[in-house]
Amino acid sequence: MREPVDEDVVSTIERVDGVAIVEGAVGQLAQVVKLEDGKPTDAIQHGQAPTLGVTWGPNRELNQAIGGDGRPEVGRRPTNAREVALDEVTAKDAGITFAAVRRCANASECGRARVQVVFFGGHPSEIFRVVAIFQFGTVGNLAGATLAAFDPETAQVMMSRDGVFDEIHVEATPGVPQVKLRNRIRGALRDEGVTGVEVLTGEQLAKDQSDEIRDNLKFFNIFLLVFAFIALFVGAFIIYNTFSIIVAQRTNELGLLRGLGASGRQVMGSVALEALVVGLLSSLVGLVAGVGVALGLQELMKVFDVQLPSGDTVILARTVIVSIVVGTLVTVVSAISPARRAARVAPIAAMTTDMTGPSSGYRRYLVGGVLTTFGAVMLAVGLFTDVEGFPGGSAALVGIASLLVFVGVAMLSPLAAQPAARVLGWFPARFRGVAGRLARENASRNPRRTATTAAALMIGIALMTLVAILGASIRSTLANVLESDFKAEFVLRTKNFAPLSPEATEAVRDAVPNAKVTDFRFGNLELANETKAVLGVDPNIGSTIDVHPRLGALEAFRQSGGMLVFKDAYEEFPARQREAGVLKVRFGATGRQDIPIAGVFTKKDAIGNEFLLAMSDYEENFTDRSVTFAAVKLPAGTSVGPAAKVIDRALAAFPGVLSEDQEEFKKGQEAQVAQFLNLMYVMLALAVIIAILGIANTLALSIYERTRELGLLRAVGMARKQVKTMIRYESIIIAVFGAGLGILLGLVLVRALVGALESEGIHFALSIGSLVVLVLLGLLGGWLASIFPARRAARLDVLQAVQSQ
Amino acid sequence: MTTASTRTEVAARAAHASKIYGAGENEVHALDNLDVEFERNKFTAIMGPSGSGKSTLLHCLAGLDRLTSGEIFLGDVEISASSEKKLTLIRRDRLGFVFQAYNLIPTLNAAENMTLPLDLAGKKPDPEHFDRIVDTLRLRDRLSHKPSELSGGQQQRVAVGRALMSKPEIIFADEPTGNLDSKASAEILKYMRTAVDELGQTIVMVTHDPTAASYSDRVVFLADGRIVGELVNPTTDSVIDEMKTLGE
Repeated sequence: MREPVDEDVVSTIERVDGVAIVEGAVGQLAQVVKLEDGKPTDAIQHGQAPTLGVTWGPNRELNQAIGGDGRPEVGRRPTNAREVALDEVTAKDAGITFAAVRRCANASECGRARVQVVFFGGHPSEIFRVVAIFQFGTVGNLAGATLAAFDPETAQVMMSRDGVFDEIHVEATPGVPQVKLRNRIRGALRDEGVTGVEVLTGEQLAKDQSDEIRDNLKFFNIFLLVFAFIALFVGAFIIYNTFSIIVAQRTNELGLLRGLGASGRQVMGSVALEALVVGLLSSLVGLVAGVGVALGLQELMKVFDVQLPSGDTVILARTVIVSIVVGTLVTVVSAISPARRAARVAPIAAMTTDMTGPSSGYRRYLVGGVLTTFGAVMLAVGLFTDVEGFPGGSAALVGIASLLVFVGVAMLSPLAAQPAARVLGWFPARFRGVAGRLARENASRNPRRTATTAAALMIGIALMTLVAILGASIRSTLANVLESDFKAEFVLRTKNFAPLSPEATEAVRDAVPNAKVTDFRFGNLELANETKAVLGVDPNIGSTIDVHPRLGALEAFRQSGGMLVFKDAYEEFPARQREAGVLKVRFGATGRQDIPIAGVFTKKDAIGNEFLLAMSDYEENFTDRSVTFAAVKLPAGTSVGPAAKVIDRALAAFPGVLSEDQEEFKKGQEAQVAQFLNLMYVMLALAVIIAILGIANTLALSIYERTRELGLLRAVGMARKQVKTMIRYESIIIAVFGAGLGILLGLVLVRALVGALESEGIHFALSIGSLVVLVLLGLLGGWLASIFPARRAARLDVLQAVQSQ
Repeated sequence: MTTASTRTEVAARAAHASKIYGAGENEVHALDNLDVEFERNKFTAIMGPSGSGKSTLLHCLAGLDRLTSGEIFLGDVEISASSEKKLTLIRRDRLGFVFQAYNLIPTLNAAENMTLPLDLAGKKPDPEHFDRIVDTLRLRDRLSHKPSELSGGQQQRVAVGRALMSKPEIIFADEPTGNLDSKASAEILKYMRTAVDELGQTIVMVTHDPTAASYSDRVVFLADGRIVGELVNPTTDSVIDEMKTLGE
């Protein structure tokens, strides 16, 4: 929350010993618009990147003035109120050639070297001559931002910085250390009684900025790591299951080893060692494949319209080591329980043919029950109370709680496997003859194996359910809010939800004279030492958006301004403050102020803010004039269609600014939600794919185990097609069981989550369609998982199979 | 051999049957240009030492294995020329099987195991036939039991029941009593005898047990992939004597 600095400070700094150059700079939003035949056409913007207006002063090189390694390609510094310099990409998009700029700079024959620039501080848009094109590094512009550079005085006027600068750049005389000069400047400012000015060294500023970038990337990293963790977690289930099955299949062999004198510890060690080797090799393969997938995934993201910053693929030594260690560790840990079971195999087992292995009995269910309960309680604590002191905050707590619930439910799931397989197997048993009946029997013959296999799929599907239902809840809430609280027919916003120029809303006011247009401007203030978001609103808000004010609140707000406060926030105020009816706040620009409380409102769903400041008060205390969005309520009796045309015509001069009716606005918001959901689905798809591979793996192992049985079936006349049918339906039963468990668990989790978000205005909504799609996904997954194992089973050599043990 | 078979109907026969495993130095002739016929409505036993080719012959007759050269006929159909798909259907509809052990599908109960070939064909069992088999094999009170709940003898009875259920042209039995004690063995062999005498079935059985062979109408002796002897209306003693002769 940095506020502008008075320009008089420049002369104060100039007098400080060791200062070589001082220059005030302005950095605000400025939208460059392409001109065709002198008329504005396209607003130039790249994706979500900002459109910036900056200064290029007389005293410093361009790269010093705008930072980075900017250097002019052609032309000269803009020196008057009619001139601008553009970055190379923006100039190209505006259809301006180097030759045109050269002529304009040297001979003042500007012809087509002109653009319009729209400002966001209240100054009307103007047409400028382009007298220079400059470059940023090698890519032309920085991460897609557009840059328009002005003479400092022009910048102050255009970007509503009269008498102030956003920053003051200082260069030291050679030999004066940065820190020393900074301290001198601080001292000088203190002596002059200047407050609210932050003095930073260049080093410090660079560090702050790179820290900020790293923080942003960190969030993205954590986001990705969460999904990687989910994938590993699912993988752990499959590893556990695989080792359980092979230990069971080797019962004879292990019994023989024990009979020959191997200790339980040695048997366990042999299984653990196997896990170690398998884990190490798999991690190596996974690492190589991961690098490949990273490249492929970037392409996939593009398909789903998710923009990622592009760059070279970097492989860090740390990544390699961590991947291999984590992969190996997860494998070994997952195999511990099966290894311990192997150690318990009795020597006598060498003689028996029972391959189901020792049953774990009630202990498993007891532990599963305890974990589920504990996880559920932790989840409730994380969601519904303020957690303090837990590392990572409530998000981490909720994550760990979900993990416990997943493990707990997975441990309990064998209880449900048999009945579920019987119910799900009804269809194949009824309509697919004896092959279908055998599929049902096979799916329920080893409930633990079926359940563990299904549990891996359960996790991915549960998270997908959570995402889908959360999305549906947000959408439905949005629709309800629009229907019930949105009185305005139109919303004015920019394409990418960046702020718009107040000029634009003014133009709409002029075009539809009796319409009520409410501007919303965003800002921050400090209240009781906490930074709070505030919306500056026109006092006519009652006509455009219903915030459900308490009796008389709007009346007071209209007449004498002040602050409308959301009821929850109001109730948290100290009683003293409520009685006084005055809020003691601090603004960045104007410092401590008393703002009268105009009243209380009870519904913030439509605006998402707890503090609404009357526009007159906002303008007194904030320098920013850009409009976050605006709502337009037509006069009674005006039909929407023609009005839309009038508004569109008024906005023609402001490319990039949209006027949307309710339906369009809703669609735009939904598209944003959908984009986020798609990203989540893509990430969760990995977990589902791993689970499907797990099903295929279990089937392959089961088929190996049942070789003789399959041979027998073929010998007495089962056709290959029937073998495939049998395996396919077994797979589908397992997968749909997993999907069903996942959906149930996901519904419970999302119900709790939405319950916790109730105070944010989100209400639970069920999307049956999504759930049906997830069931079908399970079905499809089961079918896919069965392809390879079914083919293998069908191709078994009958005679060999019958003769095998 | 020709005198008996010209007048009686032939259920299955092998002509110039050869089966060679391996190649070159390691070439093993499991069946060596062998000719044999199996009469309808008869119980035939195939005997011979280990490696004589008796199991290979049974597997080839049953369409579970293929000859290197020669022909196998089931009635008039040359099954040695049939596709795998057709063989599956022949096994399902026209043949019955009894193996030495693990004959049953563990997830199906006794009744379901017995009707398995019919179920695979999508046919309903004839209730009268079903009841007759179940009662003959004394399995009435075991019908809903899973194989794991049955004794070894009971399991083999279910296997015999399954082989009989589809009224096959011929039943192949591969050491059906190999895993059973003598009492249970006698029981199974008696049922097989009954099946031939009363139900008009045809059975071909591989065994190494002279007592088991004595239940048959005819014993065919194999050695080195060739027929080396034959005994009609055998007794345990006559079989042992013949074996001794061949062994020398």
